[in-house]
Amino acid sequence: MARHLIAAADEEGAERIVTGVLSALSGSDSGSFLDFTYSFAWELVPGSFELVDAGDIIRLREWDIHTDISFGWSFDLSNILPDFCIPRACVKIPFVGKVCTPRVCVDWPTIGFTINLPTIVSEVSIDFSLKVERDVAAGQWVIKGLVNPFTLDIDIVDLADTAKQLFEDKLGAAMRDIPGIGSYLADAISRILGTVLDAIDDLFEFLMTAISDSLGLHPTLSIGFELHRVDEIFEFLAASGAEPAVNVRITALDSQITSDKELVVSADIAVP
Amino acid sequence: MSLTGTHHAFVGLHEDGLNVAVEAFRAARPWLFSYGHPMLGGGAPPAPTTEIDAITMPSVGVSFPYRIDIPKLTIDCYPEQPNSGLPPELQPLHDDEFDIHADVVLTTLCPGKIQDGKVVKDWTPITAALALWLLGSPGAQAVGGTQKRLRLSSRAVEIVDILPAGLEDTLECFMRVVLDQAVLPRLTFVLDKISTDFFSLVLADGPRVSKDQIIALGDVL
Repeated sequence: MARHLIAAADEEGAERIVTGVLSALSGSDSGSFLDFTYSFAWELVPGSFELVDAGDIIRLREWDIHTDISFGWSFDLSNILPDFCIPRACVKIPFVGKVCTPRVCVDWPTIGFTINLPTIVSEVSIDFSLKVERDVAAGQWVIKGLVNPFTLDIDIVDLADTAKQLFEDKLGAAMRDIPGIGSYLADAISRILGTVLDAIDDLFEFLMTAISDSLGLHPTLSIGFELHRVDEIFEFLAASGAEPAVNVRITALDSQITSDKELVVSADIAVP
Repeated sequence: MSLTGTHHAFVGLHEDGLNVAVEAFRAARPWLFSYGHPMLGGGAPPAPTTEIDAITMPSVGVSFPYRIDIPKLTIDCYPEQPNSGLPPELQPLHDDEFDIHADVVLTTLCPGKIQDGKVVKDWTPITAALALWLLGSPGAQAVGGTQKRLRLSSRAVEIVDILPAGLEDTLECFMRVVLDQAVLPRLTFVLDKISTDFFSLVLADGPRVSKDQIIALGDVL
C-alpha cells in the first residue's frame, strides 16, 4: 500500500543538504586575557558522500576540519617605564628674541608578538543512518542517528592533509609562479602529500568499511543518539482568528535509502 | 524506480493522504462543508454550519431558507480507481488529472402557508441529494526568477441524474463558469524558493498528477 506522503532526495541533493547543515558548524572565536590574545577559526571542508541502500547508510569519508589558530602577547612599556620629556632650552638672541629648542618626549612603545600556527587539518570519516522510533508515552516520533563505531575514523591531526595545506600556504603559490613546470610540480607535490602519505589511513578505512559492509555490522554495532522529535499530532494548518488549527495524526513514519541511491522519508496520516 | 529523476528532490501526496486531509479539515472546521440559513442550523463559527441568507424571489415577499451539506468529498488521482463511479460523460480520466466527487444534500424550506403576504407558517423541508463531479489538474506558471504561480484548472463538471438533460447542462454550465471565473483564479499562490539556514529548495517540475499522487520535483541550491 502506498504511503500518504513521500519525500525523497537523490544522492546529490542529500549531499547538498548535509553539506549545508554541517557547514553551518564552521565558525570562529577570539578573545583576550590580560595581555594575551587568541583567535580560532574552523571550517568544514566536505569530502566524499555516498548513500548506501544496504543498511540505509549515509557514508561520509574524509571530511576535513581546517583549524587556524593564532595567539599573541603585547605589552605597553609605558606601563612600567615612565614617559619623559627632554627639557627645553631657551636663549635670548639680540634683535631676534627668545628662541627655544623643541619639546621632545619619549613614549615607550608597545612590544609583543603574534604567532599564526599552520592550518591544522583534522579528518572525520563516518557511517551513520537514520532510525525512526515511536515514543508512545510521549506521543511523539523520535528520529535517531546511528553511528557505527567500527567505521568511525577521527584523525585529530591528519598529517597528510596538514602537510599538504602547509605546502600550499607556504610554497605552493610561489612554486606555481615558476614558468613552465611550476604548476605541474606544485600539483604533483600536493598530490603526493595528500594521497601517498594518507595511503595507510585510507587502506585502514577501506578494510574497516569492507568488513562492516560484508558482515552487516552497521545495524548491530551502531550507537544511537536522538536528533529530533516530531509530535504525533501534527498541525498542518495553523489557527487563524476564530478558525481552529487543522491537525492530522502521523500513524507511520519511516526513513530508508533505496537502491536508486535516494533518501526516502515516508509517512501515513489519519484524522486525529 | 527513481523518484527524483533528473532533479534532486521529490514530494508526493497520495490520494489517500489527500482524502485524510479533507476529513481532517472536516473534523476541525465542519462549517466549510455545511452552509445553511439560521432556520436550518446556520450560524457563526463554531456553529457547525456556516450561516447563509435565504433565497429571495422577485416580486415575492417570502424568501426561501435553504441548506447545503457536503457529507462526502473524495479525491481520486489518475489513474482512476476501479469502480470509482466516475460518470461516463467525464471518462476517461486523463493523465495529469484528478477528479473530485462530492455528495451534496440540498435542503430547502417551502412555505406551506402564507398570510398577509409575508407571515409564513408550516415550513415543509424538501431534500435533494446530488452527486457532483469535477475534473481538475494542478499546474504551475513561471512568474520570474525562481517564483512560480501554483494554480488549479478544471476541464469539466458533472451533476449526475438531473432531468431533463438541458436543465442539467444549464446548471453544469453555470457551475463551470463560476469555477473558472470566480473560484479557481483565487485558489492560486506564488511559490518562491524555500530557503533554510542550510540550503534552498526551488520548484523545478510540477505539481502534476502521477500514479495516484500529486507530485512535485525540486532542486537543492
